[in-house]
Amino acid sequence: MSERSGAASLQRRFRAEWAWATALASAIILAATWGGWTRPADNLLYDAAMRIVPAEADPSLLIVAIDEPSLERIGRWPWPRTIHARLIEQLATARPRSITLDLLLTESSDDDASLAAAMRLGAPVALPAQILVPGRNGQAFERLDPAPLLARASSRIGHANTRIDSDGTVRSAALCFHPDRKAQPLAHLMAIGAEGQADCGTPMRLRFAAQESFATISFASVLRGEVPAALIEGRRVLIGMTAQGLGDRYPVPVAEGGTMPGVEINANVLNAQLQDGWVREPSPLASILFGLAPTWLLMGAFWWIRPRAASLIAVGLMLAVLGLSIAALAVQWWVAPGPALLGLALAYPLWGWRRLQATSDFMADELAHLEQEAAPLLARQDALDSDHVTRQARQLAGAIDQLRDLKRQVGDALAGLPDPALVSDLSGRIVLTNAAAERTFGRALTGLDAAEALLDIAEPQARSPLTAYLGNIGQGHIEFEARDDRVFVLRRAAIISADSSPRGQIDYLTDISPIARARRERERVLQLLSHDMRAPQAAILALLAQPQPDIDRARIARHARQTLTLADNFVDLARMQERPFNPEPVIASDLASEAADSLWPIAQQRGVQITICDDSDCAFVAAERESLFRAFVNLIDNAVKYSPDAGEVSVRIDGKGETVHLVITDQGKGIDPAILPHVFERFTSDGAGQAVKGVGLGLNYVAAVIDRHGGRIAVANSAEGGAQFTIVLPVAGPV
Amino acid sequence: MRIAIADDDGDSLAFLENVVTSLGHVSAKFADGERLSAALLRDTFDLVMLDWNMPGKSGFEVLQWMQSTIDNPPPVVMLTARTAKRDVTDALNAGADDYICKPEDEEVIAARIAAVLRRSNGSSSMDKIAEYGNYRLDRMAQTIRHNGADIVLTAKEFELADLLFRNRDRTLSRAYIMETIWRTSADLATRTLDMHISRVRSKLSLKPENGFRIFTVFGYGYRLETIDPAKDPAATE
Repeated sequence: MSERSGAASLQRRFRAEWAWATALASAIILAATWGGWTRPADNLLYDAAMRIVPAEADPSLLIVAIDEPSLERIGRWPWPRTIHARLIEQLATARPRSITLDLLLTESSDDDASLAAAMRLGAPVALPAQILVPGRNGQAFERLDPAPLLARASSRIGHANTRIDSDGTVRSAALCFHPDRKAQPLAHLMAIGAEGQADCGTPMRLRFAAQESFATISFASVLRGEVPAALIEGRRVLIGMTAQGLGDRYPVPVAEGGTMPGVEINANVLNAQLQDGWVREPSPLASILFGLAPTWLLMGAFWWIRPRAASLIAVGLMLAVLGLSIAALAVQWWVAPGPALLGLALAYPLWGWRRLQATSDFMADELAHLEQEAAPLLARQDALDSDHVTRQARQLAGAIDQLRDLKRQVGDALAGLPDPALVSDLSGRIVLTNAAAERTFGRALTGLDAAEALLDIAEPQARSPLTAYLGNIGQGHIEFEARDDRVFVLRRAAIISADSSPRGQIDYLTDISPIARARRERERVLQLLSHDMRAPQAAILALLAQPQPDIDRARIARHARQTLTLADNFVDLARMQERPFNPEPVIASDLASEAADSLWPIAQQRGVQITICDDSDCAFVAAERESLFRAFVNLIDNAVKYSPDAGEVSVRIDGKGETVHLVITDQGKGIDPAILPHVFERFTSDGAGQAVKGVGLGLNYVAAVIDRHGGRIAVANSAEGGAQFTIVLPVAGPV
Repeated sequence: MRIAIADDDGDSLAFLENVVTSLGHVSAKFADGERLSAALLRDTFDLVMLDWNMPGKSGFEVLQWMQSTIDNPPPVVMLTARTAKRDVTDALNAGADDYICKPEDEEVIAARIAAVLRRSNGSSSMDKIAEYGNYRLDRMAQTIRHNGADIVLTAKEFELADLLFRNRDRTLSRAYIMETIWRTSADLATRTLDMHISRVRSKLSLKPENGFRIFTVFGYGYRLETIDPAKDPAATE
């Protein structure tokens, strides 16, 4: 399987696993929200949060506590109702706003009359009714009102049932007791203003004030008149039991493990009613959304971030959920964080598990494929002391090592190629190349456009066929000439991945300059044989075919010599090109003198004077004696040939710093300006044919020799009209 | 003069070198015939002293090879322990100029070397005045007169010109020229010789019009060629 399709299948698998993990986590959150799985934990959190953001105690509330000192002074509980009557009388004189006698006085007693009398003294006194669920009479509930005398004297009667949660803690209160629709709802003892509310039977979470934050005075102190009236005046007084021994104490969120007396709980109910301090709860849908949102956020984040960051984000989300819960409680909303936290806690390991499974399966798959493809490369190293994933990881490490080796081998192979190779991607950028390429192109190539780089080195007229070839991949090869006269064969091959999608291309250049040169050489030989050498022979035959008996020997000899010179030049040129350049120091003027000496017989025959003018002061040049000598001979020979009879050929040698100049001037007609720029090219003749002897190859040879010596040669027609050749050669370095 | 000595015995070689040096000549020593043959191909000597019995190529074989291969071979003195009449006649007939039977006294050997050199160089070669074509050499004044004008030359340039004139039409190796004129070839820059040749060529105007040309033999040395003005140039073309 190719890397590409493998990655795609892994991607699909991941997506499926992700959806699966998300669905499972969501289902668990839904179930936890509906089933209340996290309620105990939520309650703990709620209690803790409640302690952090407790309610303010209303200053108008005053608890008259039946506490331990009162029991000590007044005697054992229960007290006769006259005691309560005295207390209420006492309180009434201080004119409180209201009195709630938070004591169950359901049985009639003889003292009821005195208590009822006290209750009518002025301050309204509320009394609790007890509601038994289920009732003793077999009904669903049974309401026990205060004794009839007292009930008549009371300002209002309300229920004082305490709602205890399953964990025994009191967190909420119902504003009225409303067990079924037929019955008249009974308002809570403390629920002032809640009567008539439609759904007042629904228990509401209570925001507690901190423990013992309500003003409290002892029952006994009031009874004895120790409490100043100002303290009581205008306040809402609750009378209830606080002594430990009397029961009626319940655990509450703010009690920190302890209990709170029922009267204080009722004070809290009143406090909540006065301050609207009820804690609201969101609708079930909102709760579910609150539970799901963080988990979905986290699952979403898994796609974008690395696993390590994901774990941090999970923890961060948990803290955020907690913080949000506490913050909501401060504004009297309770959103249970449990399901959200459970979801977050589950999502991470769940996804980790599924992802590991998917990765592990994928690795097993890929390794199996790799093993099939490259069996000799993979040596299995299954150690018994490691688990499955470790083994896979080890195999993967092995495979990666081999891949690395393979990559290095590919790199080495590419680098070792003698010819330039360019590997480019689909967009044409060069991604890999070798030293031969950098040498050929003369610059760093990586990152450049392959086609542009190739077009850049090509001759201008080679560019359009090259563009056509590059644009149509897989068409054999193309031969093109570079700007520096090298000739290349270019092959472009597509790189196809295992799943047969194109990945890029390789451009492979072969420098066929020597072959191209040999080809040109062959053409030159053919030209030489077909024309230059045949022509004089044909002329000789023509002369011999003439009917007159006296044969023009001189002309025949001239034609034969022309052929010989051509052959000599040709052989010299061919030999020279095979030899490496191996110079020795030679005095330029000496070489020129000897060249002139060797041509003296010819010159003398025509009366041509060769004058050597040497101002070079024995300047040495690094020369290949024989070839340079022949070059000088060729030039002077030409000058003599083109000179008029009794003319002069001047050879002037000057040493000029780092160069030696050699100027050969004749007094001939000069060179046709039309062919002047081409005289050193191959196959040049001046068009006159017969009149020119041995030119063409000769000057080409001279140019090749001078080039070999690192010199320059130029030709011009002198002011007097003759041809003037100038050779510039570098001076030989010191020995 | 430059004398090549070939002997496979180190003591004999040292003895002969001593004799040659005492005569004021320069010696080149060779331990066997092969090396001597190789040197003769690329160098010039005024005299070769050959031992007969040498490993590889014997002295007699070298002698025969020289006569058939080398142009203008230098004179040869055979120096050997072989005393048979037949050996002596064979060597002389094969081209040897003298034959010395070992052992021989130093004075006798020195005298016979001098005699051979005198014969081969000609008696007039070191006259006070010598004329070669239009060139007139005054060896006392070390001047050369050409077409009625005196040409100023340095001592070495004169010696070189003299050497070339005396050995005209004979190819002289670079080592031979350097050791003859400068007495050494070891410490001398090869360019020195090139420059002297160049100066002699230009100062004396040694060119075909004046009957002479200095011809460089690539990889070997120089030759002063005489040009016969009467020769038909067309024939050489």
